[in-house]
Amino acid sequence: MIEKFLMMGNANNINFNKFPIEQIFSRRRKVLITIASVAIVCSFLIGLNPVRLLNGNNLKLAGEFIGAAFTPALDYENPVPGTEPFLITVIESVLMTLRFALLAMSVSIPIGALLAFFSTTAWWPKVRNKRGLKLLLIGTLIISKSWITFARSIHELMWGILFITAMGISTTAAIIAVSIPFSGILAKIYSEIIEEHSREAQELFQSIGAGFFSSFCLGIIPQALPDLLSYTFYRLECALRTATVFGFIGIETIGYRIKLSSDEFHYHEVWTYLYVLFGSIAMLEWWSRSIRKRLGGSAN
Amino acid sequence: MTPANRLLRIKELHQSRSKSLFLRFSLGFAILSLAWAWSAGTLHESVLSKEQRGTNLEKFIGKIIPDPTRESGQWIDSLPWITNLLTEGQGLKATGITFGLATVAITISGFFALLLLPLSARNFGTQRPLEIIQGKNILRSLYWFAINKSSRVLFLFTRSLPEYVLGFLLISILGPDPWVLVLALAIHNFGILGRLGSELVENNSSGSARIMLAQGGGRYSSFISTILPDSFNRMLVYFFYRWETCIRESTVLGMLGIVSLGYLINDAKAGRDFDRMLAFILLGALIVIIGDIISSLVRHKLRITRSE
Amino acid sequence: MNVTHERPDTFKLESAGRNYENISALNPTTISIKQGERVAIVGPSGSGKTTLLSLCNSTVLASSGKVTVLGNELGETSGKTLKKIRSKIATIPQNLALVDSLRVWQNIITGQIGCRGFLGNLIDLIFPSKNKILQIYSILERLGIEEKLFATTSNLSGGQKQRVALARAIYQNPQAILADEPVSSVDPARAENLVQLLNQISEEENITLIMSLHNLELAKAHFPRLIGLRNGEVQFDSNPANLNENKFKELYTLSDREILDDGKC
Repeated sequence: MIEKFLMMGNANNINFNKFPIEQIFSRRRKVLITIASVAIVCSFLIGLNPVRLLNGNNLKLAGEFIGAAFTPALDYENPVPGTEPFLITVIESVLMTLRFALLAMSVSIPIGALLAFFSTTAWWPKVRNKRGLKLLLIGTLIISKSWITFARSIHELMWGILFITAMGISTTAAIIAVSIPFSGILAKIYSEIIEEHSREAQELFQSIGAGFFSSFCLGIIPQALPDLLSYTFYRLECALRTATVFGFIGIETIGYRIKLSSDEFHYHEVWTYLYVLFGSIAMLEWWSRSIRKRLGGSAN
Repeated sequence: MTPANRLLRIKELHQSRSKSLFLRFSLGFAILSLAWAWSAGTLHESVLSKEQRGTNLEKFIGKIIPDPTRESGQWIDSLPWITNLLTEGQGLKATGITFGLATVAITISGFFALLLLPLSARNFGTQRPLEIIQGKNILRSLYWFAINKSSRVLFLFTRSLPEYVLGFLLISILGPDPWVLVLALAIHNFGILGRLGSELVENNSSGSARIMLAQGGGRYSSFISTILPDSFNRMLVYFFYRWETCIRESTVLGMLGIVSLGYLINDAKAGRDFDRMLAFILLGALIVIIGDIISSLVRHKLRITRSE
Repeated sequence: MNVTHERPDTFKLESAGRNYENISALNPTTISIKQGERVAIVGPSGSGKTTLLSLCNSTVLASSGKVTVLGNELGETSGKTLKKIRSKIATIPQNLALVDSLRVWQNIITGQIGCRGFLGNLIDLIFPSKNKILQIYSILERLGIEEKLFATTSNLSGGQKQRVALARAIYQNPQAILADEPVSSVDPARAENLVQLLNQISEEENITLIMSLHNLELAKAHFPRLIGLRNGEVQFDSNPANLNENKFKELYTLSDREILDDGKC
C-alpha cells in the first residue's frame, strides 16, 4: 500500500516530505483504532483469559444448557405433587412481571414529566427586569438537573437493595425504588426531546397574547408527542427487564423463577421462562412499532 | 350555503375524517392494563411485622454514617476510613475492573453487531437491496428472507435478556470469571446495538449505497463504503451511550461474584456494614457520572444532541 | 378616499431602530400607520423587512427609540395590557408556524389563544363549541379549503397551509394583520389570489394590513402605500403612483459587497 502512495503523483518529483499521513490515519480510522487498542489493553488489565473457561466440566454444563434451548419444558422437571401446574406458574410470573413494570412506569411517568418541565428552559417567559423570578427559575433548573443526574447514576438494582435492606422484601418498596432512577431518565430524555423541537408555534402563540404555559403546552407538546411516546415505550420495555432482574433479590417476578430453576439445574424450565420473556418483549416491540407507524413523527 | 346545510356538511366531513381505529384501541388497552395493574389484588409484602420493620429501618439509618464519624462527630475523621475503603477495601481496583469490563464488552458487541447489520436492515437484507434487483429466483428470495428475519430475531432475543439474568446463568455454567461477565454484557448489548444500527441503515437516505449496488457492488462493500461512513457519527454516539450503560450495569454485575463494585456492595451488606455499603454505592454513582461526562463530551464533539 | 376624520394610529415608530450585536438591522425610523391602512414593505433580502414587522408585533424590543402600538408604548407596557394588545395583532410569519400534528380546525382555533386562559384553550382544542366550528368553517369557505376542516395539517400542500395560517389570523379577529412574505414560495396565480384576498378582507373589516413582499409588481398593483427598505434604511414611503422607476431600480440594485454579504439578518 505504501508503494502505491509513493508512486502516485509526479514520478519526477516525489516529495518525501509530503507523506500522506492524513490519508492513512483519517479521523474515522483513528477513532476505530483507538477504541480497539483501549479494549485490548483493558482486557489484559482485567486478566481476561478465555481459554481458562474451556475446561471439561464447563463445557459439559454449557452443552446441556444450549441443548435445553431446543426443548423448553412444559412441565416441572421434578414435579412435586400438589403444586400448581408448571404452565400456570409461568403465566402467573409473567403477569406479575408485567404488573411490576406497569406500576413502576405509572409512578415514574408523572414524576418524570414534572421533573422534565422543571429542567427545561423551553417554557421560560422572557423576563427582562424581574431578577428574582429569573433566579428562582435558574435555581429550580439546577436543582432538578442535579437530582436527575444523581438519581440516574445509582443503578435501579442498587436502589432496590437499599430500600429492601432498609425495609425488608416488599414489592411496594421495590416499585418506589425503581421509580427513582426511572423518573430521572424519563425526565432527562423528555426535556431533550422538548428542546429539540422547533419553537415556531410557541413563539407565534406568545406574540398573539398567550401566556407562557399555554404557548408551551399547545405549541411544543403536540409536535413532540410521537417522540415522547416512542421513548416511553422503550422505557416500558426496560421496566420489564428490570422487573425480571428484581426477581433475583426476592420480588416474585419471572426472574425469581429463573433463579429457582437454575439453582436446580433444570435448564429446560429456564429456557421456557426465557422464551416467555422474549415473547413478551417481542409483543411490546410489535405494539410500539405499530403505534409509531400510525403516529408519524421524526426519526426513531 | 344556508346554516343548516353548513351544519350538515360539517357533520359529513367530521364523519369522514381520518382516524385510526388501532390507535384508539391501543389507548383503551393501555388504560385498561393500567387499571388492572393497580387493582389486581395485593402485592407480595414482607413477612416482618410493622414494629420489626420499624426497628430495621432505624438500625439501617443509624448505621449508614461511617463508624469514625459516629464516634467523634466530625466528618474529617472519616477520611482515613475512606482511603482505606479505596485501597485495602479494593475500591479502586473494583473501579478499574468496572471500567475495563464495560469497555471490552461494548467493543466486542459493537464489532459483531456491525458484522450483522447489513443483513438485518429491512431494506438491505433482501434479494432486492434498496430495490436493485439481484435476480429473480424464488429460492434466493426465500433465503434472504430467512437470513433477514433470523438476524432480526437474533437481535431481538439477545436484547430481551437482561444482562443480570444472562450473567447469572452464565456464571452458574462457566463459573465466576470476569470473561463471563464480559460475555453477558456483550450479548445483551449486541442486540441493542444491532437494533439501533439497523434503524440507522434503514433510515439512511443518501442514495450513494443505491448507486454502489447498481454498479454491481456487493451488499457488504456498499455498506462499508457508503452507509458506514455516512452514519459513522451517529453510530459512535450510540456506541458511547451503550458504553455508559455498560458501566452502570457492570457496577451491579459484580454482585454475581466478580471483584467489581457490586461484589463489594453485596459483601458489605451481608456483613451489615451499611456504611461501607452506602459508600460503595456512592462510589458507583461517581463512576457512572464520570462515564456520563465522557460520553457527553464525545457526543458534543460529534455535535449530535439526543442521547438515548 | 375620505380621510377627513382622524383615524387612530395603529403603529407608530419614532426613531425606532434595532441592533443585533452592533450590526444595525433597522436604522432609527419614524413611521406611522393608521387603522385600516394597507401598506406593503418592499426591499431586497436582509433589508430589515422582518425586523420592522417584529417591532410592530412586539416580538422584538426596539434598541433605540419608541414603538407605540394601539396607543400603548411597548417599552412601558407589560403583563395584562401587553397580552391584550398582542391578542389584537395577528401575524403570519414566513414559516407559517403551524402545528403539523394538529387538525386544521385546531390550528385555526388557536388564533384566539390570547383571549382565554390555559384551561379554556385546552377545552377549545378538545371540545370545541359548535359555534366556533361554524365560524371556522365559514372562514375556510371564503378561502376555498372548507373540505379540509378535519384534515391533519401535515397532509396539506404548501398553498393550503398558507391559507390555514391566514384563516388563523382572520379567526383571531384582530385590528391588524402582519404578513411576512406570505407568497414567496407560492406560484404567481395563487400569489395574486392571496394578496388580493388579504386586501379585500382588510378593506371590509377595516383591519390594518402590513405585508412584506419580494414581488414589486404585486405590491404596486394592490397597495396604496409602499415602504421601500434597503440596508435597514427607509428609501421611500408613499403611494406607488408618485414613485418613478429609478427609485425602484435603486432599491434592488445590489453592490458587489452586498451580493457577497448575502444580506444581513
